[in-house]
Amino acid sequence: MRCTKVIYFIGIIFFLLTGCWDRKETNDLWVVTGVGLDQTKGGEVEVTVEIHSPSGNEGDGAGGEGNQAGGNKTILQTGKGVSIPKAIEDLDTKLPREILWSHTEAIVINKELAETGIREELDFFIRHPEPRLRSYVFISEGNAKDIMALLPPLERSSSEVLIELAKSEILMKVTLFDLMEMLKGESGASILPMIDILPPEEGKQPLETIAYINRSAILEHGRMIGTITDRLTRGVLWFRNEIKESTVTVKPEEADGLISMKLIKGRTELIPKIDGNQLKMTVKVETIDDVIQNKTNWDLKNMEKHKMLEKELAQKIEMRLTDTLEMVQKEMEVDIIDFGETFRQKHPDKWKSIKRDWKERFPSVEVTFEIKASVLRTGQGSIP
Amino acid sequence: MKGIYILSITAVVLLIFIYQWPKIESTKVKEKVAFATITIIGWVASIIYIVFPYSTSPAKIVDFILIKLKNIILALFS
Amino acid sequence: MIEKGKISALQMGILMYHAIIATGILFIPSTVYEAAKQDIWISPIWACPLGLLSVYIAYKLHTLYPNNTIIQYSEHILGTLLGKLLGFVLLLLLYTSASVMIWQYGEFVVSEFLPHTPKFVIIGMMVLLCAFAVHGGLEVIGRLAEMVVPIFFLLFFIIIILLLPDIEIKRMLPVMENGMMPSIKGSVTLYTWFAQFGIIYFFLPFLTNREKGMKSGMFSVLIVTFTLMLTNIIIILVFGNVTENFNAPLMSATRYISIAEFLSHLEALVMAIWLAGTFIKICVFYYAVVLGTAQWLNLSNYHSLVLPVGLLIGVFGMQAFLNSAEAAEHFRIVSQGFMDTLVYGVIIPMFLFFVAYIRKLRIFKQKGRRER
Repeated sequence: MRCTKVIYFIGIIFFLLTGCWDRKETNDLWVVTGVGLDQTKGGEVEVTVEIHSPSGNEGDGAGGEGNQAGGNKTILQTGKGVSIPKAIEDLDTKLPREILWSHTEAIVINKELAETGIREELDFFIRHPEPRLRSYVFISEGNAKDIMALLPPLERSSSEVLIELAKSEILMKVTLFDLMEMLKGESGASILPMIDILPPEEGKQPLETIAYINRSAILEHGRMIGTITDRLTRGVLWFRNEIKESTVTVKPEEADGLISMKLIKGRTELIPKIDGNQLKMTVKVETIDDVIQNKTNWDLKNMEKHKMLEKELAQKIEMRLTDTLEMVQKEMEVDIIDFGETFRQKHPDKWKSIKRDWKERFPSVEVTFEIKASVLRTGQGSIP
Repeated sequence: MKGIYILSITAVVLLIFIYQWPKIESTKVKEKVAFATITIIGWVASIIYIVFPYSTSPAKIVDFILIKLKNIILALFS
Repeated sequence: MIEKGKISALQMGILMYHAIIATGILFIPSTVYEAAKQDIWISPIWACPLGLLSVYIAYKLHTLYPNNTIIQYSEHILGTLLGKLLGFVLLLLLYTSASVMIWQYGEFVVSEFLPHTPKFVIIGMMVLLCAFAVHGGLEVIGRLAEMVVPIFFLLFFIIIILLLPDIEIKRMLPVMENGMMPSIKGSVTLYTWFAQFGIIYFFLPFLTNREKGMKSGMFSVLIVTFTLMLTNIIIILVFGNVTENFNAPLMSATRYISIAEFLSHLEALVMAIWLAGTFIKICVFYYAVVLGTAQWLNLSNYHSLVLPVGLLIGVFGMQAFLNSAEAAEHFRIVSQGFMDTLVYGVIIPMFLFFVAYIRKLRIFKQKGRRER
């Protein structure tokens, strides 16, 4: 009886000791903080990973290029292949440790690759259980590898700079999840922040600079078709009700200088209307601004002047929105400003017939603006 | 490799036997037969799966029957 | 009486709640989304009556034969031979169902957490654990379920609250874009889960307060409906049209949580909920299969069958589907309304109930004639 118990016990112990199959020790791992995807001349994909190397570990243990300037402790390594997994396999042969993807927060795609299509490439990051849906996606003007190679003076790594820039929400901020949603949306259009290398200051090393967001890339069905400037990007942000930071400078005709105002709150509402065969959209904007600089001789506490200023502000915003619309609706003919989605939500039954030729009908949507701008405060004091 | 699997599943089955058999009262024949039969069915099934890893499973058989039933029902109503 | 333990009606309700919701909260949103789109939160309402129906029928049969389970009274109703045959079919379906659940468990753990661990280890551990619980009897399982429920709700609501910053109402719009039909179509998939309520016919005879059995079962159905609606609403508000691109949206949503950059990677919470729930679920079905087999064979004790049956469902669970395409095929058949759970949960009890009713009517008439 005791013998059977012992056998049974041993059997269970054997069974329990089979755990730890998937253990991962931190010193067997390399934590990837940023990924760059490039297209080589031969049509292959080149994957550049930026690996954060813990301090103390001098970061050059592995044949990668050790970046040691300033406080930077990152290692770059690239792999090439016909697809991302193939490129990563190539990468694995050059890395002595296993790659951990779960801290990848920046994905930089180079322009050439974006022009051939990003949907297929990003599929890898969705299927893989480790990368996060909150990673930020960027499109770079030059090679993504060059951007990853930068040695920012203050931040730890180039991808960290990009993440902080995206988080500040001055221009576009697009996560992997937002991108999925846009790719799947009614219009199939998406917009992504575009980054470029800031020319280094004089006397500094050529790599001692950062990448920054200066434009936005427009994609249709996952293929990049053009870019818009930062000013128009803010216009798009207005339309999408995502505006967070904006400074408006107006020059009233009656005055002799400029007045600058800073956005406190901005809210946009799109009100679709179907009038027979004509599609109409009313863009209702409500904004609250504070004055931050007054270069005119106006007394802003004067009620009359205050009214005029608010009017100027509204006009300025309308101008920006009109310019954006001109570019997006008439020139590029891409619905990145959520018009299709809004029509679908408000008129689901009529949308079905509109949807079929939405691409043709989008440029003909009549847009009217209703802008209500108010200036609340004029700062804590003023120059005498 | 298959040999190791067969050996280990046999070991598991033996362990079940060693553990359970003495616990069944010796007068209860029916229990013993039921226990032995089900254990042997399990053992045979696992051996079959080890030797022929692509053989079908009860879940797929049930699905198959349900599809047949569906076709019959559809044929009746059309 | 083969089972000496007793559970309260409340414990039975909790048991059933876990048995339905455990796999439900993970897989329902994406499977229902294919048909119902942004109306997935309406679908549970349409599926709820089926759950109520199966509880009602099981209870009605129970009032006719208060001390027996379905395996025993099918013999009373249909006669020994037909009854045994029906019991055999029922048991086969239950075996299959249990093996599919075990497969789901193994598959999910392997694909999301432990990609290199062999599946037989994961499944074997679970079956062994469940075998201990089932060996302990119904009382043990009932108490386990009761113990798990507060933790389950706590973690579930924590997840919901942490997801609130990411919701956007406009993802739910337009409500009923194509009328009612999509959400009704979506609810067909849900029948698989709600039909499983029929399995209470194995537990009703062992209640301490039998008159509350139906009330508790119905209450359980309603709470399940409510939980599914809440899950679906939160998933659709967070993920919108991307919902169907995830295998287990609640899992991905929990991965997506990021509060102030340090409260993130919380998928372990979902895993905890899910593991506890799945454990109860597998226990419930495992127990039903063991008890059913023992009663079908007229054994005096079911304990000797626990390990062999565990081996059997473990082996069939390992091999239920070979790859995700086969599983997808299975779920496609299910979403058309042809599912095994519907057969054993609703159709067989309903059939038994009608036969019993007609027979009773005849006996009543004969009696009446005699009296005349």
